[in-house]
Amino acid sequence: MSEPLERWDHDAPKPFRAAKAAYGQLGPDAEQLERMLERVEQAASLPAAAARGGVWLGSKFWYWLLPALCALGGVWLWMLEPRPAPASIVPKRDAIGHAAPARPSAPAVPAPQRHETKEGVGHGVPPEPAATTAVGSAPRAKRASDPLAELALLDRARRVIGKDPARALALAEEHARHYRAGQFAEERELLAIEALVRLARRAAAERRARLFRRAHPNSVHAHRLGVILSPAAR
Amino acid sequence: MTDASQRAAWQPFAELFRAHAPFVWRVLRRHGVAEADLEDVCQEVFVVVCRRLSEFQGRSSLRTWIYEIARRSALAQRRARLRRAALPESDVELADGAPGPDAALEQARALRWLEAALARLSEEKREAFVLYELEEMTLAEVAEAQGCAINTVHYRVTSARTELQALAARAPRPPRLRWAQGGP
Repeated sequence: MSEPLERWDHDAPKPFRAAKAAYGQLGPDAEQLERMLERVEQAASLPAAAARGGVWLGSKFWYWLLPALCALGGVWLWMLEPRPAPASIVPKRDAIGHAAPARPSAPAVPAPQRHETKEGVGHGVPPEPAATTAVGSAPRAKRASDPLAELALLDRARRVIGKDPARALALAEEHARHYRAGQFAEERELLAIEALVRLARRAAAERRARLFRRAHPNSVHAHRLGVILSPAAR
Repeated sequence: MTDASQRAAWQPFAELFRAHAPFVWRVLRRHGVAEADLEDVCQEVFVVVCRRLSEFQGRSSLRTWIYEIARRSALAQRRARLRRAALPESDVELADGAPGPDAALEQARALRWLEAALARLSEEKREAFVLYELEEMTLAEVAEAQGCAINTVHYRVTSARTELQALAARAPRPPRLRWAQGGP
């Protein structure tokens, strides 16, 4: 086993330290981000895109779209999903038309799930596969996470957070109970912290934010967390 | 479903997108996607992410999974264009120059230095170093992304550090220094 490796910091040459400080700013600007997001939404949201007349349609699109629409309505139609869940990311000719090359199976490395779930708010016990599944979704019972179901739950919280932050907080706690090993723990915590701020439970929000920062020191949501906690957000 | 409710339902994925899009952008760029194509390919990556989210079983981190999709998209796009990806040739001096008067200028200079220095590393070392030191993925995530053992990643990163340290230690005198010492 290799020794732990600290990030290159104090003994790094000055040009590198300066470059690293600037590196995180590399990427699309805000306008590009929103433009791309809108186009991804158009490509992924058939009814809205059809109304605009600019949607790409392919037969494989329905294999994603129907389960996604049903998830949004809270009902799973897994019998319509035509392919079994692959054991790894198996390259296929995707809907965009890119034929990705085949890739060998994943190498023997320590289970990332073990690594990623040993930290994180709400992950205080050893990870176990989330047994909670939607109704009629027996094929998914053995999965460690169910991203669409997680997103659907968080979506319900997001929809009510403005008018009923207490309900949003309750939904976030439900997510924490059912998806301890889930992939959207950070997003859940952001929702919970925002709900607490909206409920004027400032101390609880800041306590939870401190736990979040400790559990996820390199979180990509750090900026968003700052916005939620800023005085202007009240 | 109304447009407003659709927009609300999209919010969790929108947050996922905003969180990871800059990372994907940098991965695509580093793997040779032309500047003019970055937006299109980045969008395509996230359409794939959205479509395949139900397949994601949590065996790797979400970021590693998205990285793999981005890497393959870049490769497919490069092949489609029959263009070999390469970091731009750079004749930027690799020594630590004098600090500029403007922070943005200094940042740009530092990034040019880094790009030139990284171009001198092997592809495996460069990628391991960038993913670990700059994207701050864990050793396990980088190993998963590169399809190698953690010890191999450890070696690649430390070896890259040694090479970059040596490059930074080279200090040819920049022209303006001569001017500062008595004119051209």
